[in-house]
Amino acid sequence: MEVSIRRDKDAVTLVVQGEVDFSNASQLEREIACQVSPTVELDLKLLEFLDSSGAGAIVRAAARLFSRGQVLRLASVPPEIKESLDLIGVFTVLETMERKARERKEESGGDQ
Amino acid sequence: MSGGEESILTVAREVHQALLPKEVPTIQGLDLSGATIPAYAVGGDYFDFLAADGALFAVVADVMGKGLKAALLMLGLRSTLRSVVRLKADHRAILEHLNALVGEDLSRNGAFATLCLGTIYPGKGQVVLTNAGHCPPLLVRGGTSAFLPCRGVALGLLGGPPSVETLSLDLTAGDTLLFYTDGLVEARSPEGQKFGRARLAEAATALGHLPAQTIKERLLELLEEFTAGGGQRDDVTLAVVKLQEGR
Repeated sequence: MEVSIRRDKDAVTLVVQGEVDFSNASQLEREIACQVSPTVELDLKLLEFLDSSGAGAIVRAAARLFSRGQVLRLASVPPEIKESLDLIGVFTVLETMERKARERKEESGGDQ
Repeated sequence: MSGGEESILTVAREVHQALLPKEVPTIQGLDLSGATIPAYAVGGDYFDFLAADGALFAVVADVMGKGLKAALLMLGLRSTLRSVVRLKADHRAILEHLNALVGEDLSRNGAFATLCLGTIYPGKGQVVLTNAGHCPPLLVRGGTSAFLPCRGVALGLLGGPPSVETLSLDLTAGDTLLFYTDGLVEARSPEGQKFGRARLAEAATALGHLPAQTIKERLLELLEEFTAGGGQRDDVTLAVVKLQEGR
């Protein structure tokens, strides 16, 4: 797995290339979770394989980002990987995390 | 690996294997068979068959990750599910309890579990299925087959009531249900080709007229041939439930 990073003003894009599995999923989690930009985009167009450990890494990293008021978005997900993530319920989980983070922000008057 | 670690894994493997069904329950009208093949010494996959008032409760589950950690979490899931099933018949209530009890353990360990539950009533010719983020079960009927559209979120990913779908459908004599884990359909050939759901459906359709044990053995042989020399990357579990003709 290789992760290249592209930084813009308020966002950072992590382009993940190769295979993510049990052996390197925690490395991907660290790469995502250490970002400090308000929006973190995970560009998966060059991803060839992602197993359940990889899906877990994305969910755990997303939980950390959303808890800090940041946003994680997945982009250019290859169809087979999208199907696997959808099957597990990862997109539902990310939408729920984002909605709860937005509600928390609204409750606190948007001063986060 | 040290000798101590090796002996821990050996014991864990023995426990894991001992807890898988050695003999399937005898339920009039049903023919059952199942197997789990861990990729390492132990794994997070399991299947279970439980008899309840003439019905069968079947489960196939997959705890995220590999090795001892996944196996320990799997044992917690299995024991809790076995207890809850005896107290609750409704799938939604079972999963709600399971997500509250095991989901928290999974979440605290940065893991999740996918599982598919099926209650099969051979007398009524009916099955009730619930899926929590797991591969869709395959129904083989006559010369055709179809993956059953039943979805949901894996346990441990969201708190509160589980976000799952339940599906009820009628079965006819000779129907075969296949429950499996992603290790089967995601397995790769030495050239990197995926075994895939289409290959599973095609093979299972051709084998549908055979007894459950033969279907299981032939599918696992086919998988072995397909992956020959490529090594097993993930745990593989397959459970076959067949509604016998003339039940």
